Amino acid sequence: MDKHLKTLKETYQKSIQTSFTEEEKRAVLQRIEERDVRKKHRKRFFTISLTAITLSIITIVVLSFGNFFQQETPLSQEQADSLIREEKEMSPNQDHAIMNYASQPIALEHIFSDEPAYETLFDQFSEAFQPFLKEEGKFYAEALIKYLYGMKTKNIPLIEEYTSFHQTADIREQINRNLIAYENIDIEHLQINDIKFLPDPSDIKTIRIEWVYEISETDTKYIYFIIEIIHDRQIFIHDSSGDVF
Amino acid sequence: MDHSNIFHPSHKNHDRHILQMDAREAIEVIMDMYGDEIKRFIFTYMKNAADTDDISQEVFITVYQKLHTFKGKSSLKSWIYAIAINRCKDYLKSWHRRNQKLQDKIRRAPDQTVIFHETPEDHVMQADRQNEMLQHVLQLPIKYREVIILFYFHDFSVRETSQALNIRETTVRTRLFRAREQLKQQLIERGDFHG
Repeated sequence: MDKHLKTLKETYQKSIQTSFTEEEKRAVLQRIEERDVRKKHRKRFFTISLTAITLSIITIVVLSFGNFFQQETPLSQEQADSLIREEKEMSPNQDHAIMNYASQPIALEHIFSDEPAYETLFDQFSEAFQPFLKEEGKFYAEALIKYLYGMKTKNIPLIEEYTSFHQTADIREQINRNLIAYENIDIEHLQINDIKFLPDPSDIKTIRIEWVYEISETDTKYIYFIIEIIHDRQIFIHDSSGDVF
Repeated sequence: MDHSNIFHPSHKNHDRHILQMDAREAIEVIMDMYGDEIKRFIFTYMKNAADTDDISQEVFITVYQKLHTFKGKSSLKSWIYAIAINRCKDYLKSWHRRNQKLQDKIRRAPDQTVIFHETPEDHVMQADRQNEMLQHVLQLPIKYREVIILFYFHDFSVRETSQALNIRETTVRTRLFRAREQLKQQLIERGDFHG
């Protein structure tokens, strides 16, 4: 048998007439080339990512250590006295004083207990938004209440949550005017006159709210809110209260 | 037939020479040297031209990728064959291949032979006695077929065969013996065996 098999090699080579052609060699080299290019790109991407991550980590560590070791320098007696004097000199009824609260989240319950009229308003908004916004309506009602509360209490961080998306000089000026107007607005008497979705060619949903601000024998004054629902529960409130119509 | 030339010092020198080349240059030399024989060897597993073409290319790409890991414990040739064997066995075990075989079974009449009829330009076999014997070899179970092909047709020594297949030398000898016995039995049954 061994003898038979030894004579079979030539038959094997002739019968299976496969050859690894030049075309196939070129195909292999081409695939190797493509693979090397991909590998190079991956390597570069990895290096850039690693550098970015390392820099971020270093920055975070440096900042954390900075905060950790930061010590407050105590005020000298003179400086402390001067500050107390300044506070005393400030008028308690300053017109445009803006109280800049820490931007801690304020719960609706806190607002309702502070001023029950907001709870009535919240219910009205929720109901009015329901046809347009379904379950999301309550979220936007809450945002409006917080904005109104922010205006009334001059809580700038709270107001900016809903106005700071496009903070321009115009808008900042408008907010200052609105803040003065809200000193005269009685939330309890503010009535929603109309709420409607405005047709908008863009993807932004826009809601127009018309408030009755003051009714006299001869005139009715209105405030308009335009709420742009940008996306993912982000809204931007345009408030015309400083320019009562 | 020379079953020991692979371990001749000149082969070691030749391997070293290839390994000192740039990887791109080395793979071109390797394809020139081993392209035909590796492809023929792969065909004995695949038994069809299309799969043989694909697997051959993949084997050389793998050789290029892994060349830097070659330690020289065996010859470069048996290392390349080991890659080819593993690649073929992986493919034969794969879902794609099993599915293809099932489809072939459904399409093909039961008495048709599987071997050598896929592309006429590649594999035309004459119906003489030598070819008939080769057919018997190619129809052996893989574990017997591969030792016969490596040892008798690719001039591998027992040691080289054991390295390429990652089995012991005694196992290679046992399989060679059993493969020969099976072939002998088949030839006796057909009345073609004359000592």
